Amino acid sequence: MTPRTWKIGSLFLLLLLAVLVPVLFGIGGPTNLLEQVFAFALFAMSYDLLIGYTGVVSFGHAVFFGTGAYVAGIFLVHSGGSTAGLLMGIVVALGVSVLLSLLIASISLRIRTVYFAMITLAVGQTFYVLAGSQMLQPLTNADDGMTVPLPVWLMHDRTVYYVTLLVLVCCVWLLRLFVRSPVGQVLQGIRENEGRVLALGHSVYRFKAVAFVISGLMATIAGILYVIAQTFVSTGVYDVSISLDVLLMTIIGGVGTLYGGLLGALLIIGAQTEFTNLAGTFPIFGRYTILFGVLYIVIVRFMPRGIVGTVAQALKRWSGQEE
Amino acid sequence: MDLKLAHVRVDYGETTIIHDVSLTLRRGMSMALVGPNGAGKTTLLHAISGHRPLRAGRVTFAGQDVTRWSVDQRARIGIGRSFQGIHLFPHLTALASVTLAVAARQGTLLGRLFSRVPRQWVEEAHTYLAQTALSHQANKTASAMSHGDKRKLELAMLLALRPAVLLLDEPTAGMALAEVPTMLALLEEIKASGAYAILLVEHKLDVVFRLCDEVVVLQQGSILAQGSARDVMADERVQAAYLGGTHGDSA
Ligand SMILES: Nc1ncnc2c1ncn2[C@@H]1O[C@H](COP(=O)(O)OP(=O)(O)OP(=O)(O)O)[C@@H](O)[C@H]1O
Ligand SMILES: [Mg+2]
Repeated sequence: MTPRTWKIGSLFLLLLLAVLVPVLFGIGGPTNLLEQVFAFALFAMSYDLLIGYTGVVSFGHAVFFGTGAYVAGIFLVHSGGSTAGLLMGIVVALGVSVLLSLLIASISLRIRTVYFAMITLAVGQTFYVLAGSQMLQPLTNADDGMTVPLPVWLMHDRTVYYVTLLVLVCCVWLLRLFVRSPVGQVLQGIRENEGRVLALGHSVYRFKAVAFVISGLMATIAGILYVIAQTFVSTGVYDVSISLDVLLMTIIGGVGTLYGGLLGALLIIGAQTEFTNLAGTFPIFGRYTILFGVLYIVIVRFMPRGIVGTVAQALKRWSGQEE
Repeated sequence: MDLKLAHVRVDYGETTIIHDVSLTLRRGMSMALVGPNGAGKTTLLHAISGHRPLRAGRVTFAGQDVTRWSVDQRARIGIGRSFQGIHLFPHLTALASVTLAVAARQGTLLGRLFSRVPRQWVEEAHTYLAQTALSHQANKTASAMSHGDKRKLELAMLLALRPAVLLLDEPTAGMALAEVPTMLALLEEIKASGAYAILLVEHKLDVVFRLCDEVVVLQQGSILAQGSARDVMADERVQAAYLGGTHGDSA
């Protein structure tokens, strides 16, 4: 078997498992958890598009995730949970996402990478503050967050589960097409050697902006999935710690592997939930963030390609396709 | 498709590296740029390719003033260059690297966000790998290639741009002696095609004699002598400044 067949095989197996979960384990706990995993997996993959494929670091990617969640949430709340409200929320969220990414790109992508990271962080914090501000209370319910009603057809847990799974699968498929497209290839060139891509005559800035827009759109969709799965949204979705969680998922899964985000999200969210449960009996587990910190260091030090990257490399070697 | 430099001056900080250099390069012509280490040869290529701004003077290409154009803009109208140091994509395969160069000629690519890389581009990339004797290395990553093959890959990427001007910065530098003849034959073939205006920075004088019609000697950022290879090398000032200088490489 070639590494390619392994990859496709394991993705297919994962999909099959995901489809069967409601049948095997029932609706409720496991599906709720997985819906969160799906949202974060997409978020992590959108992030990988930036750091893993283009070599651009953003510290405020939560601004897209949060905007997806808030805009969809606001439209749902103020339309009383109608389908039209949901659709409008999606369209507006995607529109805002494009404008926002173009704006950030235009002020910061041309200059050095550090500024870009700083600007994304600053914009993310601004939105965090806005979402919690009393001034916008009628719109966002400020610090208390909003409970979000869903359209009737989306009320069943099973429907929500399969809808989020379907959206995830479609987005993964699009992302896969994107990284293999000529544009995706140029992005990998930029990650490898930006100056060389420029000397070939590619407009590096434009390609980075495209990557940022697409990445932002995917993170926005992830935010929409999140609010649909949680039926609740609060300022937490804009929190820097969410950007950091997603960085951790991407790194554990494997930077530049795209699918790493799937595994990273599963592991981190699974572990977070497990530890939170255990903390009920053993308070020590409440301090799991320290454990994540250690894990982070271990992975960066010993598995810089993350789990997916390391396994892929081993398979490659094993099947005789030396690099 | 002439490339013209008029009174070009380039500074690094307070120091002037290139003083008032004027040159004309025509299609079908190959010009050698020689001179001792630190003479400013690479800096002059930087000025032409847009990697370094001009302090004074102008660069024109095909009748357009490109003095203020960016690196990618200049590459797109046909000013192609290679680099003195290795400047590749370490983890991309040779084939992917050359395909990136082919893709650079296809417009903005924005209409191809979700479509496959056209097979035609890949096939074309293969022809450039074949031309540079790298076909058997197509699936190797640049970082896993020998130094000589990296140099060839650099050239394959350059040719894939189909540039009008080739700025070659010491294409044989650091190559094993056994590999030099292949590169030389390749460069001769490129020259014989008559399709390019070539500016070659080279220390090895035998290479210069074989490949170039005209030689420009640069010393401390100024043109010391210019003319046919034989005339220039016979020039006493050149012999004093260049051949008598500290040059191990030219032996
Ligand atoms: N980035 C830089 N900053 C400051 N000075 C520089 C820089 N790059 C080159 N120089 C200076 O410019 C001068 C010309 O350098 P350049 O690299 O153009 O020489 P060269 O003729 O290509 O030499 P070589 O044969 O060694 O490649 C040198 O004195 C060098 O020290
Ligand atoms: Mg040099």
